[in-house]
Amino acid sequence: MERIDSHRLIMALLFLLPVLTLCYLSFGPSIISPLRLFGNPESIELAREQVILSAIRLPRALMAILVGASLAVCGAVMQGLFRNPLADPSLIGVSSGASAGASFMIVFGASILQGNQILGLSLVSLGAVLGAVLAVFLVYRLATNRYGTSVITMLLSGVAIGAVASALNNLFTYFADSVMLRRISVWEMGNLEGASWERVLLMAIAALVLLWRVPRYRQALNAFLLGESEARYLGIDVEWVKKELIIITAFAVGVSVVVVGNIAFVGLVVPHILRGAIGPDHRYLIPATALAGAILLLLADMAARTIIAPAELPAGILTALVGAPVFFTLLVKSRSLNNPERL
Amino acid sequence: MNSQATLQLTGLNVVIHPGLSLQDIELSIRPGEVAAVIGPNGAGKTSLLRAICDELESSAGRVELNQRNWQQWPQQERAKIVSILPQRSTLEFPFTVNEVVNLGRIPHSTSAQENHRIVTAALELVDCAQFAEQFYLNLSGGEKQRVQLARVAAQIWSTQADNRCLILDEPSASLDLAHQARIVEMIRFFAEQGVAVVTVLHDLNLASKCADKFLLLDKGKTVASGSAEEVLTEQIIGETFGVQAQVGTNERDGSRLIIT
Repeated sequence: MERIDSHRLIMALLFLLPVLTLCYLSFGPSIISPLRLFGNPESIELAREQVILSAIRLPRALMAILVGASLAVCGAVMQGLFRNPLADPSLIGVSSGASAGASFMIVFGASILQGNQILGLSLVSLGAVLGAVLAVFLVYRLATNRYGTSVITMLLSGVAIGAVASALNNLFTYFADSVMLRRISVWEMGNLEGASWERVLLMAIAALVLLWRVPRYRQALNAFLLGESEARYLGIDVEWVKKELIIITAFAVGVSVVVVGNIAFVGLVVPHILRGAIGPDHRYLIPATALAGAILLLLADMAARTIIAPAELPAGILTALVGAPVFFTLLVKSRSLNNPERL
Repeated sequence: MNSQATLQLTGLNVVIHPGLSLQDIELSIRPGEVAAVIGPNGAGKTSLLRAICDELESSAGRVELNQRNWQQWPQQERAKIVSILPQRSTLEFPFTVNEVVNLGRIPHSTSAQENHRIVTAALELVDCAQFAEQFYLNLSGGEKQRVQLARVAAQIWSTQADNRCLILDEPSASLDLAHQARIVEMIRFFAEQGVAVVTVLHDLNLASKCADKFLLLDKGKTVASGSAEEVLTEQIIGETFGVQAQVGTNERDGSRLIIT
């Protein structure tokens, strides 16, 4: 375990993110210089390129950055809270809870929606957030007794809650008409294709709340790694920190499910790899995780757009295809390292 | 030095589980005093410490820290003067030893340089300075225990303030002979600065070396409490632990020597 200097890594990521964003904007079915965004559309050709940039590529790039950063930070927070490097929003039922909540709102909130895009989107978001909060709270309660949070119970109850949530999801689908069905199927696959400015704005709010609140708890999260009792002895208001962080992360993951669907494994893999590189200190881990998560999803979506061009793969499928083997390797490795009792 | 008790337990009753409860525990520790909680397995020693720290709910009685009810202290203020070592710690993240001990400085808003100075001194106190840059997870059980002790020491490290309190649950478990002696030195080091110390200890000889007063528990009840002469007698030890004990005097430091 050799460590990389955390300041240097953060500086490198800070440099890499805008460079990759420019690459992302430039490449696609047609190669366009991002500089076209500014400047006068002198010809129809130029105007067309400007529209591609401002209406398609730029919101999509911002979406990848916001979602990637949020999911990775949520993963880091959950791994700290559960004191387990294998916790992840999708593994512990948050994502499926969010999907079920969103479907519920689509099917039963339809009469209130009345075709209003903004109102509809925010109602569905509310459903997703409530579903996510409920799922994570249930998993946490099931896995926690007075001796702490058991990992195996947490993963198992995550699976169980996830199963209940997808059963509910199916139930709502059963009552849905064809328009609703189409909307529900959007959550099933993580895809950045539908990134619109409204959705980017919604995700930006969730990401800002997350990135504004979480750093306040960086030392509390460090104390949490010692254990809940130890954190209390260090003067941390454990119950409050737990509640606020669970609600904030569930909110961010819920909104991300609303805007792009399920993006698997970013929240698991990014904080895990960075912790190995710069250590578990959340003062550096959180900013580094946010940057690396943004970069990873940007790269994944770039690949998703180009691998089978001119058609596209949903980025969620790609992150799952790469993430699942990485997760499996982590599981096997931690099993040999840790006390077998705990896993 | 302040003559008022730093930590005062009055008529403390705690239901641990249906078959065992702590009954009417009284204990008063003044600045600079070391109290050892002793007794056979399952006597309720750890539960008593957890009840002091408000981790277990008491059904009657009260715990006062510097004449103020324990629960009425703001958590962060309390964390600046009270440091607690639980019986075992399960830290499974790849911190270095330095970083672990530095976590003890979380309640304080001292500068990074000051914290570094304290962390180094605390590691020297438990003979772990040579591990400072190593990974905590690579250490042996006894070494981890010492690093946790250093963390707890760093939390109340200061040169003044005789309102501080140190609560240790079996600090000597899994330590070798040399480092058990080191723990005695560490406890005395803090006591001399006016810190009130309460510690659970299994080894009666170790307890008699570092403690000023003793609280002997059995099945949740106080069997004896007071000085070594009052508590560590052949009769009391025989009745409580069910062993034939001989009590002598350690020629080197005049402490009681219990031979079983």
